[in-house]
Amino acid sequence: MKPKDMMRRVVWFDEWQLEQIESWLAAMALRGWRLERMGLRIATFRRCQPASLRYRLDVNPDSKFSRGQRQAIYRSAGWVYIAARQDIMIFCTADPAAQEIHTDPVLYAPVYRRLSGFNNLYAILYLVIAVMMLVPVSLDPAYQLKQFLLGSGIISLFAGIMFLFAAVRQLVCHFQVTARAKRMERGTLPRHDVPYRGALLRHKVVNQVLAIALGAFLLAMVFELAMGFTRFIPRPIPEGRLAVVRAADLDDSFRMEEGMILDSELSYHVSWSVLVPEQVILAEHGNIDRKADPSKPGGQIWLESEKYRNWTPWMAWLVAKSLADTSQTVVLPDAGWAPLPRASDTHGFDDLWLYDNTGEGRHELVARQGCVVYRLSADGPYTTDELLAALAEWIGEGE
Amino acid sequence: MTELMYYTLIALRTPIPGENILTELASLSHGRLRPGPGTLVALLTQLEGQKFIMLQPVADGKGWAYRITAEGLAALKREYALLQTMVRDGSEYAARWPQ
Repeated sequence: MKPKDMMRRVVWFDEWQLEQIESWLAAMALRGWRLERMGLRIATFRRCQPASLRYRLDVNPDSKFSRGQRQAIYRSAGWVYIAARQDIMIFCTADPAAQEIHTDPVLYAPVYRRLSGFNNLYAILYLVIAVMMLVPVSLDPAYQLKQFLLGSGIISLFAGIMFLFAAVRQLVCHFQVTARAKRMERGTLPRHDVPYRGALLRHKVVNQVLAIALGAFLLAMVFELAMGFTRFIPRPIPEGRLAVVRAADLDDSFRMEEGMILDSELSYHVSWSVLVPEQVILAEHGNIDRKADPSKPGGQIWLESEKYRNWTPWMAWLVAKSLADTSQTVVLPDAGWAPLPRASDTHGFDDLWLYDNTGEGRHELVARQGCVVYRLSADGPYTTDELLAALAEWIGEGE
Repeated sequence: MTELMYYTLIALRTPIPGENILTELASLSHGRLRPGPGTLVALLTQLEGQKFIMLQPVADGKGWAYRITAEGLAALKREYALLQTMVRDGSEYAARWPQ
């Protein structure tokens, strides 16, 4: 089969690594590949006789000189124009006696500084976007963390980190260009015969890791967008005293309001998350009258049962802690609410937060067992044991 | 005024296309001055900004040539006079310079 005459390669180097790119192009020419054109990240080569060529990437000066005029002057010195890439023109010569393109570093320094012009703009832009995506995660960690872990905040975190990384890369470019320009102003020209393999390998590894991370991010985003009212609940909410409505039973007559599905009698709390195995968590809110108990007139267990299944016990603990901290059950004398206190006796659960308003009033508990979190509220004259018994009965029905 | 700037202004005393400037500089300096083309472009940009040189179309209408302006010529004459003064002042002591 006839060997191909054209080849494309990714330009792994950063914009400020002009000398490394020059060395790489020269090495390619020695292997029989001459640069044809160069885009932002892709260089196209044409097969040729192996030759010792010198390549120079020359920053465009901010002048009235047209490209044609500049190329004519360079050609008179033995430098042939090859390609342009953003604010850079690439020249090449096969004449070892051809004078270097720049012989006066002081005159070149202000031209070279133009390399960092756009980098500053991109760095600021990326930094602003990164802050917008990351700051909401950190402002109120106790509450936001639950929303973040169970919602689409993971996407914001990932995207924020990517933009932060991009901003750092642009800033590195700016500082590198500034440092080199200062050396030029002191009379030192940049070296052209620099090794490039180390930089090439580093950039390949970093960029491939970034590409994989970006692919994972896009996949997670698609997965997140695709979730919602699916027809699958792997572990159904138990039957029994609570009427269970599954996602498959819902139709357009239900009204959505801030994550709640409302009808005339009951409300259903619906949420979905990338991090929870179930694609839809359907919990039921409702007022259930306990069996009539003559010894406790007016009492009722109000099972606002919310059940969160998480990937790991640690994440379940985070969710449970967040629920306990944001509970509005323990009313403070000077207005406001205190978090649910941790129970010293967990009654067999891994973690238990309990507010037992002994006698009348409102009770609430949040319990974690493994990767599952339960929340139960009640109004009436109930004891802790009665609350826990009701919860255990409800859990038992689900096994 | 740097040496390169001085010789460039002399080179542009008559209109000359850009691709011939390097050759003219080498000729004027007897091979001593060999600036890089990028350095020459940067210098021409600077001189044009100072209005010491200008671009004008060549007589046959094909292409452009650079030539010195009146301001450039005045600056060149001042520099030449300064150099002459410096040589004259230095020559008084040339014989007594330490070896």
